[in-house]
Amino acid sequence: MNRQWQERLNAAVGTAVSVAADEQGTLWLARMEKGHVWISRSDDGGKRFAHEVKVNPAPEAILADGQNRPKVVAGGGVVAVTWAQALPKLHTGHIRFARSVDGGRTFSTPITVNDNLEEIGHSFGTLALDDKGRMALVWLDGRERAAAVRQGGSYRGSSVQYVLSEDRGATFSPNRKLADHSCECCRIGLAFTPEGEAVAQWRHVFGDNIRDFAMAPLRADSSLVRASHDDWQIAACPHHGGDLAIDESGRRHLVWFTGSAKGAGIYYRFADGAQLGAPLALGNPDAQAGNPTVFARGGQVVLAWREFDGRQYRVLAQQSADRGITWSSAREVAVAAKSADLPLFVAGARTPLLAWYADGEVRLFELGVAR
Amino acid sequence: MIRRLLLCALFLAVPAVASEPAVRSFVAGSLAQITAARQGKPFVLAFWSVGCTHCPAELKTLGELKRRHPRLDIVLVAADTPDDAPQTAQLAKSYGLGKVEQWVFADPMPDRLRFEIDRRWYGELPRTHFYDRTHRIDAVSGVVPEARLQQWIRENL
Repeated sequence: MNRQWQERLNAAVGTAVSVAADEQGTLWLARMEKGHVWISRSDDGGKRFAHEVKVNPAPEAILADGQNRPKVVAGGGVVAVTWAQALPKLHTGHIRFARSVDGGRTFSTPITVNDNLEEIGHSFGTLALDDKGRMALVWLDGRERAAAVRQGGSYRGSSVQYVLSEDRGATFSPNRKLADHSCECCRIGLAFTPEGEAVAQWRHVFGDNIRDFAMAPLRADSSLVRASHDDWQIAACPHHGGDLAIDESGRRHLVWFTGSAKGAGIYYRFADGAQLGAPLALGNPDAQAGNPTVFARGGQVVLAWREFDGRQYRVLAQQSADRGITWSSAREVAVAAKSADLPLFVAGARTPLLAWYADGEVRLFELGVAR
Repeated sequence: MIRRLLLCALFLAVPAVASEPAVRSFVAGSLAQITAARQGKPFVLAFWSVGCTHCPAELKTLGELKRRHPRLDIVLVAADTPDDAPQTAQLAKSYGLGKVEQWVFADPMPDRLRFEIDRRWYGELPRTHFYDRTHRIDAVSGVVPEARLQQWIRENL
């Protein structure tokens, strides 16, 4: 077996975590240690996380690094988490899910969500929950490629698969394919519209290896919209996804990375229906500006990303009070010297609360403008 | 006794001479060492990794080019860890690149090495840096199309 894959399978502690907020403002942290997903809660805005509970009773290999992380959501009395269980064969896995209905004290027996159980890629899963209890889980899936290869053909990239729930994850729809030909290893952006429809944003493979972003609503007759036009032609996995937030007016706010010669770096744009706004370049491309995340609510849009100057990691943020039209200049939020996960806005938080797992601890930053 | 020791030493020395070049540890300053050793000479600096899906295609092409153009100077740098050295050496050999200079990342914070190599490289692999005679660099992320490699060889070898 590939030694590095073996090491990832045996990793003692995950380097990628996630944080969610419920409507009471309780924060829920999901992290991986020694083959288990652990969920803990904080009632003081993230200063201290306690009452940690083991989610999966039996240990399993769990991917919790870079673009893969245990992803938690909370609301309506439910705390739910998905993660990628790694299988022995290189770059293969299953999408797992469990939830708690008793305030995070106990969790349901984990289920495997992908209904194709071949030892192929089913990973990079992400989860979203809206106020009405609708839940969406979307992931990158190797079944279409495997089928094509079995028939002696070839297939570009992976496919995007999803399930939906109307009852906070008590039951799910069957697996459905959202799109063919996604890039293989980038995290997916996922958010609900005010009407309760989930929308995903992912790195796609357009034509001969143009790896730009696409988005599409999670519904049966869905067709994708190309969401970035960087024309990044690359025969490789950039391992660098984007993020999506949708405000109360239904405006979609997108952030992403491209390595295109036309202008490598990170960008923001909004979209109203099929109408795409002009891309706004963010951060310092000479300091590895990357891994952007976005929050949008109440007219406020906040962007955060990570930079690295050769010695230290930094999180920077920039905000708009007019739904993404005009922007403040970038400001530094935090610094870390040794290790740094991607910064991510807390799922479900009413305010732009940013979580950053850096130098071995989870830090939270309220980025809202005082009004 | 002395003769026997000498004999032993001889036996020990023989495999070392005959074996493939060792995989060297790529640390801060290694890039300067690699370029300094090739002043005024074109070469291809190829970054790859054991677990990278698209790297075998790149290594295979580089191996074939090396076979056809023995003068082509390729330096392989695996963005892995020193523990991976046996595997990187074995893989490189399997692609006909056993004799080229080989390095492996050796820094607990590989981001630092990447930053020193090219601050605009976000870690995509394979990553190929074409150095011309004046050491002007043309950097390509992803598998390099063979036509582009051929063109570089025509222009630089």
